[in-house]
Amino acid sequence: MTLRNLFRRKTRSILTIAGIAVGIGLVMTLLMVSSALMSTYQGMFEKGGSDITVYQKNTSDLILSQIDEDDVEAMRKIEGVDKIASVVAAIEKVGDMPYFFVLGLNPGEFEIERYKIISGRGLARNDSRKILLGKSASEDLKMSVGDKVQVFGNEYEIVGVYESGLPWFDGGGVTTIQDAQRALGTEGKVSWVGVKTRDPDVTAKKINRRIPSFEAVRSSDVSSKQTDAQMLSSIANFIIFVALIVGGIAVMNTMVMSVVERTREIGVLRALGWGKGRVVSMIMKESVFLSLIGAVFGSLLGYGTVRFVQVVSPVPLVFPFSFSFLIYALTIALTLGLIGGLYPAYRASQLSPIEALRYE
Amino acid sequence: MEEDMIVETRNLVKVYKMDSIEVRALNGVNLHVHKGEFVSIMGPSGSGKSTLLHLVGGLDRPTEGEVIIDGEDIFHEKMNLDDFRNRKIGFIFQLHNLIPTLTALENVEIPAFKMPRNERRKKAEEMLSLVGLGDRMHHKPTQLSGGQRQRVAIARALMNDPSIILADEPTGELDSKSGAEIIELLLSLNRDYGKTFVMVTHNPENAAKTDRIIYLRDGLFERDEHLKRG
Repeated sequence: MTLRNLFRRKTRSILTIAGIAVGIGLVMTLLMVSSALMSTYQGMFEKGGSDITVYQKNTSDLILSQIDEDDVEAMRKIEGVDKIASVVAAIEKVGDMPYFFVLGLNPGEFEIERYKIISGRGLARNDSRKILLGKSASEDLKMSVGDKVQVFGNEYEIVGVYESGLPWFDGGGVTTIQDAQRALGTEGKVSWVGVKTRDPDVTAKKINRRIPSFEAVRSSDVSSKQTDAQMLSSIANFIIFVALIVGGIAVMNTMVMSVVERTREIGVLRALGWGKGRVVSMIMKESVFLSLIGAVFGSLLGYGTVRFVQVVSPVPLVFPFSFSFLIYALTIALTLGLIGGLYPAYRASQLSPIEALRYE
Repeated sequence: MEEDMIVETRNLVKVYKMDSIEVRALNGVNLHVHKGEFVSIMGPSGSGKSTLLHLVGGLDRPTEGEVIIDGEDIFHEKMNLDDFRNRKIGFIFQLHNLIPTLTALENVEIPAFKMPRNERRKKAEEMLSLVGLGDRMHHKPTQLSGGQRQRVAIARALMNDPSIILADEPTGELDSKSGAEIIELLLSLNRDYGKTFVMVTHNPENAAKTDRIIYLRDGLFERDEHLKRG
């Protein structure tokens, strides 16, 4: 009965479902993009093996962070700091790749270990103007070991190709810290430092106290502290909120019209002994069902959109699609259905049987 | 109240307020219907016929007075009117009021929501066969004639074995042939199955076939004619 009641006015129901689908599709896309960004940040910092990431205090983005190597050496002496790995990071346009991620690392420090060499060799301490290319970059630039690539306005010889499992890094390259510093004109400075420690919270507090220009945080928390990630998350939350309001209004409008059109019918049902609760239940079921159908289509739309974004994005993005997103979409749909159906259901239940029967 | 009295109203008054004007639809009506009777209620427009039916059926509340159905004071404060209507009353409206998206069978099942599914389906099939629509169970109302739709409504009214069946101008929207068939059906249900009917009608020919005709005027009984042995 629920489905049949919903599709009495096919066009209206289809339009409402389409509206909900677009809303939920938008929500799903934003969530997945936001999640992909967070996931990428997490991969960058947490999965590199560091327990703490140290960067310049009050920086909105780690790419902009610059910390003194002398302070880094001072930090090495703090109790609890077991190992450190310095990183110089920059984004360059290389060939047709507008977002070529370049990392300057110290061979022998733990950060470089995640870059698994799949052809050629790794970097050596005394290498100069040598670079490792990520697997995706190698494919996109159609370059491999022995070729020369222009980075920072200089020519670098490709000595190895690596795979890190992170699209941003695999779409870039790794050189020595000294090469990166020279090319960027940032001698004596690094972007951030990864720290291995047995007690991250205690060690982070010590670092923050001893070196006030540093921000030391658990590597797992870095992504949530990034301003651009926070901004995207705030925008996403706002849009989700607006989508819920609009979606709820769309459902409510459809259900109110449906209840008005069926006033007489509801009067008959009440005359036949249907209590207010049964009438409310009928309307709420229709409302929730309408939203759930919208959610299914919305999820498909969201999935299709992120796949499209993935193809056209100049920045390599990995979207962690999991069933939790589908469950989230269904939960939003349920909420929309409940919110949107509440007033019409209440209105239907309050109809006096005799007045409803007289309704023309 | 007599043992076989199934409907009793005591000094029933209904006043409608329309802006500042009061309309007294019923002025103190005392109705008595015995089990198995087929009572017609006639009167000019505005005499209070439908109002009386609606109060007896618990669709509306009186301004004053009582309605006792099968020994139950239906407007007692603890009475659940929805439940009362479901158990005790079968309604047949002038317009069939079937749900257009449901089949005849599904429409008939509507009142029996407390019955187990299989039992409900079986009973609905029996009721439809009883009214002569055994071969039209899976048709939607748009696929049925006016007379057939009213038969479905009658089957629906019978579903919960109600104490009384209230029919408000059941042939009002039908042509004379279909109307005559419907009246014959109602009379046969009364005669062969002992169902108690209270019918509002404008048609004197139909009323003449019943046991009693009560004439209402200005919210009061004008006369009460017994046509058959009660």
